[in-house]
Amino acid sequence: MKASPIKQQTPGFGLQKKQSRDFKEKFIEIILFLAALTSVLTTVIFILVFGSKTWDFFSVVPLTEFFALDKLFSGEAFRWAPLSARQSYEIMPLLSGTLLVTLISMIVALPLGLLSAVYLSEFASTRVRKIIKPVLELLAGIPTVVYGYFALLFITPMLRSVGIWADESSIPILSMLSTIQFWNVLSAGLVMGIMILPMVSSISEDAMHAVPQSLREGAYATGATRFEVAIRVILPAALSGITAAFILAISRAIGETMIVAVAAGQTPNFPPDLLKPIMTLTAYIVNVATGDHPAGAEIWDSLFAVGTLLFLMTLILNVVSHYIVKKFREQYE
Amino acid sequence: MSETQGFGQPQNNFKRKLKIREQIGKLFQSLTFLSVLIGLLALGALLVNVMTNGRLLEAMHSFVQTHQVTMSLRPATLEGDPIMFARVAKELAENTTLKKGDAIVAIMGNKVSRPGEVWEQLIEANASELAHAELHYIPNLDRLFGELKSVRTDEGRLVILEEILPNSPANQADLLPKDVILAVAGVPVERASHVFEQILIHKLTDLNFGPIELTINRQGDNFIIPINVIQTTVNAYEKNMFAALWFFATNFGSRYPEAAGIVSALVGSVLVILLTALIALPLGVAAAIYLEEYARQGLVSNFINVNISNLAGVPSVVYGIIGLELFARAQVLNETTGFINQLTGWQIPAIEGFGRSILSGSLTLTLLVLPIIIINAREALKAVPQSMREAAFGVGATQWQVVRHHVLPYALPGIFTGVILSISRAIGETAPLLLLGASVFVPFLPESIFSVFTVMPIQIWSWTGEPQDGMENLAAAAIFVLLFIMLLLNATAIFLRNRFQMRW
Repeated sequence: MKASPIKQQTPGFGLQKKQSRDFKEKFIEIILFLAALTSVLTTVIFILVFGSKTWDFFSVVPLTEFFALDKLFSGEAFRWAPLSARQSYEIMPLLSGTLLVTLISMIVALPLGLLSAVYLSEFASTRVRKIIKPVLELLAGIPTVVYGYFALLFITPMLRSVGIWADESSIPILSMLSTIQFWNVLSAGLVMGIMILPMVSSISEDAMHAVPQSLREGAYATGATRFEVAIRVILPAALSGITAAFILAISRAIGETMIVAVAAGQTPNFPPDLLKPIMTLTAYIVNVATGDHPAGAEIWDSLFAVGTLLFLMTLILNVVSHYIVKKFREQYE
Repeated sequence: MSETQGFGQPQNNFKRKLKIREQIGKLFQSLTFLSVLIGLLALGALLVNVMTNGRLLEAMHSFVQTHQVTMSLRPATLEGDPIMFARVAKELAENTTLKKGDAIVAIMGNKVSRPGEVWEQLIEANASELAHAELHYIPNLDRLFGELKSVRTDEGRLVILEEILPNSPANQADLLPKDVILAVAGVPVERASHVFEQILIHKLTDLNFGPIELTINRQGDNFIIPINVIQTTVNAYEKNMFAALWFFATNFGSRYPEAAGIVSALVGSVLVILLTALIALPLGVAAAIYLEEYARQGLVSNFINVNISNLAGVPSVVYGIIGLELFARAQVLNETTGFINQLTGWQIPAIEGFGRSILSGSLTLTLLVLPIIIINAREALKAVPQSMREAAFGVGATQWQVVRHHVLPYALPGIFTGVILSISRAIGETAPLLLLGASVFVPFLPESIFSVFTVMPIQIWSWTGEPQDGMENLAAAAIFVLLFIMLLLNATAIFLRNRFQMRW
């Protein structure tokens, strides 16, 4: 190694070096801070854009007309017809469509997801768990447009053939499926449930996994069976996590776009029918954005109004779920 | 025995109860297992469906090597039923005698009455059958007769044979020029196109390779002349899934499903994702470092935390609206500058925005994945033990030196795993890009980041919605390719996690 000549230290050199180092440190910190601020900036832009455009929309279409709650009681038909000559923006058909699809998907996802989580956390051997968990995660990673394809070209034909079979052997309720339409709520909802299932099971399982082993052992020691331990000890202990999972699942279902856009159709119907097409909030957004409409038209503003509604619904659910996790989490140790 | 009699009753009771409890437990356990099974079954059904539908690509491809076939639906009047047949679209390769406009009626002796059947027959056949597959077809009208002319006379419309092609079926059936065709198999015809349609309907409704009877009028007398219209060509088909996928992955989109590929979507997806990673990775990691290593626990960092977790929950379609407004049209920017101009009297010009370009798409996806990357990167940074930092601080390292030389190297595998996982989510995102106005049909490769583009999920979406036969097979094949890429990404992430994961 070549010996470097010892520099003669001028007085204040160390100070200078420290100053430049401090400057560099400060500089880097500011850059990192700015990066962290981008998320805040995103939110600000969200609020600005959605706020102003939604304001524009509601200054033309008043809120009372938008929700038209009085029609619920008077039994008048809701009209969501942004493209017709007599424009009408009454959100109820879209909202009810979204809620119905969400309801069906939750009927599938919540019980199945919870039971899967119980199986993985309480019954499955470590080896089985190690295989099944990644496979279920694979299910969660599949793009939603693929689920749309699956709903439209597999589930709907399958439901129809089940209906035709039931019709021939005259089974009462199932035979109604034979009239299922190409686009329908039922298959979109079922497939969405399958899509959300791994999310429910994953979060619930994490919550159950976090319940300390001592609680299980204590329960076993009093002679409880596995079932009783799972139901009476683990579930209550993990309830906050499970509830959060359920709420997040609902929020996910409300915001889900491609499955409904592909498989549930583009027809706003009120009241929604399981076997017929509907239009959800998200499907409407896709429908408008992929159509040919002049910029600045009222229909574009309606996009933001619907978007705001969607944003608020999911935001409230997310905030509630965070609150539940924070407030009601059972702290052990 | 007699002493325990008194206790026997409750003990039996207890045993019975125990049995019931155990039974309930068993039942519950099988119920939980069943629900897992349903999930796995759904995954299996999805994959099997994609595979079987995607496999038809093989047949479509082996067909396209020699033929360009379009499947057409022609409304013809057979008791009101429309009739479909396979029709050759382009001039064909040398090893068949098929020409443009020919109608394929049978493959290997099996009727083709529905467009998709051409492929279905091919996919069901084994290799040796395929090697000598016979294709039956009806030549187009010109090659069947020569020249046919529809003429309006006093009696109505007549079909007259103007000229007869040598060696054509008409010539072999001893038809002469100036013959008037009155009926095909007993059905009156009025126009030249009717002749072809009626021949097809006659052949396809009940497949037979025999002659068909033409009623003609020659110089005032009516004759019935049988004519052989079905021709045969032999062609060696090749079944090769790999070649089919390669063809699919290297060709541009097409109106004809058997000639369509996804190269523009594939390249578009890769470019969009690379650019997204390029923007989101440094931004996300920097934000995570700030929040994890620099920020003091306080109102600001708390606010940013809540903010990020809320942004992660916003539906992707909402990001699409923002992307459209912010990047594609630059509306927000222009309104802001307009506002500033108004206030200050400056003349900041309005800008155009990035349009429906790759850059807009990447920026939108960046917004979408940024919260996820930040959350994952923070987890990775959190996993580095505090003692590492303290040791580095102890020898006089500055905050940045600690991060740069000690924390980051150990957290990097974890960070990359998170990034890859969020990228694999972004590659499947459809709605935001659909909203941005990514095109559905792009018959060229993008030249720069300002080019128009399409991505694979959008191709899948558009093919899924098309009613044309064969399009759903294309969608399945594209899903196959997409899932393969995602699997590759996930495998890389798992490999990274296992290879470099530190346990402290």
